[in-house]
Amino acid sequence: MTLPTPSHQDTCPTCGASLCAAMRHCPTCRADAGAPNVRACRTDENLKVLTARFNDARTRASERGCSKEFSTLSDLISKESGVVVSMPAGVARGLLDSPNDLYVNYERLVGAKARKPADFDDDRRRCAVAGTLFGSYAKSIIYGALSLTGHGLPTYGSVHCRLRSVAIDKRTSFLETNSYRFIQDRGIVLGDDLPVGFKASWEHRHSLALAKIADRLSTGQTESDWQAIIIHSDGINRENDDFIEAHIYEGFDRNAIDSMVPSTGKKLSRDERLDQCIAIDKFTQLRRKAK
Amino acid sequence: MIGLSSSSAGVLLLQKPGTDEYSVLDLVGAEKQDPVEAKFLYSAAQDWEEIEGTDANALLETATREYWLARTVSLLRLAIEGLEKPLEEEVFEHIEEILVSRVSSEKALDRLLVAPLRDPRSPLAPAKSALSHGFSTVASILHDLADLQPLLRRLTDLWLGLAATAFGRFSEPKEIIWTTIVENGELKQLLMASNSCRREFATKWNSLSFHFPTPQSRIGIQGLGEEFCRRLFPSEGEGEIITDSLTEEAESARRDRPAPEISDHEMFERAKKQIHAIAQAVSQGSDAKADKFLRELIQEQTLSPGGESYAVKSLCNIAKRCADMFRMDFELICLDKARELEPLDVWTLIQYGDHLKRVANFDHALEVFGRAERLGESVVAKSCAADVYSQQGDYARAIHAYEAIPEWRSNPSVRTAIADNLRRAGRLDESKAAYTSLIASAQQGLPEYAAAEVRARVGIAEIAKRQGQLEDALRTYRTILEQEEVDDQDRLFYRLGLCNVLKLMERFDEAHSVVDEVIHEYPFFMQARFIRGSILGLMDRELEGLEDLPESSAPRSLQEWVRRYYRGLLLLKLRRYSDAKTNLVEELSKAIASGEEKAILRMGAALWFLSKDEISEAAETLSDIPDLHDCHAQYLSLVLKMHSAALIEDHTKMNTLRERIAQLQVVDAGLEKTVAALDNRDFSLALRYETNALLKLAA
Repeated sequence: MTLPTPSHQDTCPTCGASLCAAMRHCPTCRADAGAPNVRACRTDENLKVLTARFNDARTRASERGCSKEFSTLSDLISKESGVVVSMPAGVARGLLDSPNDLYVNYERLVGAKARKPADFDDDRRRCAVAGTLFGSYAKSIIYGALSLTGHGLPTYGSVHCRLRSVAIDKRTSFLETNSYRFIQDRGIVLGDDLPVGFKASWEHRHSLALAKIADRLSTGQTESDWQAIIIHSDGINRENDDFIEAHIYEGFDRNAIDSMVPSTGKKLSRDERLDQCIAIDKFTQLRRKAK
Repeated sequence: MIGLSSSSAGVLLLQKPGTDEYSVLDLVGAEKQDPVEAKFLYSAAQDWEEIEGTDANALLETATREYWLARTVSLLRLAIEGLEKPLEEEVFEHIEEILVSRVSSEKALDRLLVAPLRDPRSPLAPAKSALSHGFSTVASILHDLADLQPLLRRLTDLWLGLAATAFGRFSEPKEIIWTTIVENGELKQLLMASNSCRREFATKWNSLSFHFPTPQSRIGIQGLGEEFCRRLFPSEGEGEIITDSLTEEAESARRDRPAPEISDHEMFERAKKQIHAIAQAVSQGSDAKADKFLRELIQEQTLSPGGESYAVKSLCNIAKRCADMFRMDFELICLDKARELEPLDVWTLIQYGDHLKRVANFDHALEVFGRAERLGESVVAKSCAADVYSQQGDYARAIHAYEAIPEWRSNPSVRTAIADNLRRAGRLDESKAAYTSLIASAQQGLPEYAAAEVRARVGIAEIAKRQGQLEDALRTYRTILEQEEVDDQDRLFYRLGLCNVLKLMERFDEAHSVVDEVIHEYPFFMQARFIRGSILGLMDRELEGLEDLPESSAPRSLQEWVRRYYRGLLLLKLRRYSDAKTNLVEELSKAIASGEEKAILRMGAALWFLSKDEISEAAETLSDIPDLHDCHAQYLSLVLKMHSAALIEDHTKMNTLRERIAQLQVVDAGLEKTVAALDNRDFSLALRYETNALLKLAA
């Protein structure tokens, strides 16, 4: 049960030339082969294992009398779920301030020159996570969480931005859990093959979610119960977070945001609270104008 | 030591000594972050910056300063775009706090000047709101931002219009060069200099060289500065690029293009629209756009035989509008082009002479008017020549020249000009009679006297002001400004007249508000800025006032002395004696001023001598001041003379002066207190009142 690592070769769907799995554009004909993280999820091997896990989950749910819940949730995830990126209020305020700025992740900003943080162990851990999962395009990945609502993980910031599906569906993939935990729990080190069946592209996100949480379904559950299962956080310690991690290839700008809501119950400094209010006020204004 | 900072993410990466490794530091809390979690940091795509410092603390200080600056600018931008009211107030409070302790307001303003705003007036509403909540620093930044938009637009337009070859010496892209200028160039000062004189601008611009690393790019920056100077100050340098390019393009178009078949009426309508568009572009500082439209207009009008004369009329029309909005640089471009097309066009010559008069090139102006007279336009040319004498302070000669114009008695413009000159010469009774006679003619229903009636009433208001009847003057100005039919250009000057009366009445807030509006409407009108500077000085906001009165090394021109005079007084209030001396004492012999203006300048210089206890110099300067017709100025001159006598304890002279002062009407209560202060030998208090009294003059 292994997935090709990012160094493996694909074939360009347009000209048939050989294409590194980490590249988006064919070096020969410049055709867009699609986001590499999404291509990695659409391999026959991954889809086969993912489908098998989904079917197993459905069987188990059915045995426990939760077929209806399983089917309703599957539909709900397919139709209503999206990606929420949680960010510090100051970053959200800045995003609303600059219409042209694409927001990108730390690694891209730091670039090759600075991609060596202080402690060797920490560095290795971080490289192990991002590098193992994505290889050279790790710098292009934005992290979010699958959500049924507009809320995300408060441990990552006090403003939750749900992104418009149309802006990200072709370049987003999902991992069953937090990537750091995924690598750590399985004892994966750089160069190891990755287990297959734990990643999904946009159209298979319901399979991934149900394969993970089917055993936690029970009769009579509602949408809010499922949201609490899909995203669990104590709001304090990231290590206690449990969620389905979304990987968006390349950055986004403010036009990609569908909704922006504040994180509740989190103690904020005065500056953070102000930034939070400004971001939400500006976002509301933008939405009003757009209508 | 090297660090990498991102203001939008609020982090600094610090390089560990001797390694290529970095630690992640949060700029707000100065705390180390878990590098694993750092992958969840987001930041704006373009704000990553490499910074250098002697040690980690220095790097942290630089990055933190930049973070707060970026935060301030971001919050101000969001406030300009509009926030919900309660939130807006909270944001202003926060910005005000940052500006007090962490960020200089000049830096924040400079960063906001990175590009012109789509709506140049958009900062005004939040500025007003900030002020109403007592956040004056925020209000001041927003106000300045709105104020500087036309100048910024003009500069950025010129920048965008520069050919790629102008950047040949740079290895950086054009956008990076501009960013470097914005981040290091004290943009506000640069923009103010762009509205001042060539030398001023060149000095400011060339200081940018220090921020460019290579000799090539430094030479490049100087080259760009020369290019800007040629375009911003066409009358001060040798090259007139725009005019040259206009000539070439117009000539080549005339040769190559067939005449389109459109009717005269269509052409006329089109030209009207083009002229309007050009004037609008010039008023907004969009010079590149104005250049382009101007070329098109000339090309089209000169296509048909005899079209030159239409083009000249259009150019003169545009030149007049430019003069009305105090864009004398663009006015000259139009007039030069018109003179090229038709060197003997008499109206072009008259407009050109008028331009020369306004830049105080009096001899050349008289020569041009003489040429116009020989070409047959005798009445207007003679009248214009008389205006020049008046500007030179030779009122008697001016009146004589006006009276030499045939049938001057039936010409309301000439009669008004004579009445104005009588007033300036201090012949107030004669002047008042002349104005009254003009009003009587208008009231007889003679239509040609309608405009003269308003001018005459303004003249009478000015006489009332000189005689200390400030309520009368105020009432007259207000009545006139309520009349809808008053021409915009005249209205502008009447508003300044009103402002000066309010200043004398110590109604400074109202005066400030009037002049402020004028500046927003006529951003290139330096005279209004000088007045605002003086009002700010009277409101004890000297530093702000100095921003309206920047140092200038421009060639002397009409009213230029006012800038230096007010500047000197504000510096004196700030006890910057050496700088004040340059503006008040050294300027005295160089200023283009005459009659009462010269007396005002002498009082300014005398005040400086008094402040430094240089008694003989003060007495000598004051002895040159004759009796003045303006009662406030006269009162002040006697008080200054009494101050000089008090310093040497010449009680006889003091008594004589006290008696003379007692006979005068009190216009300025502060000056009355000055007399008491001098009696008590409280010279410091006296100086304060005298400085304020001088700031109320010279309008």
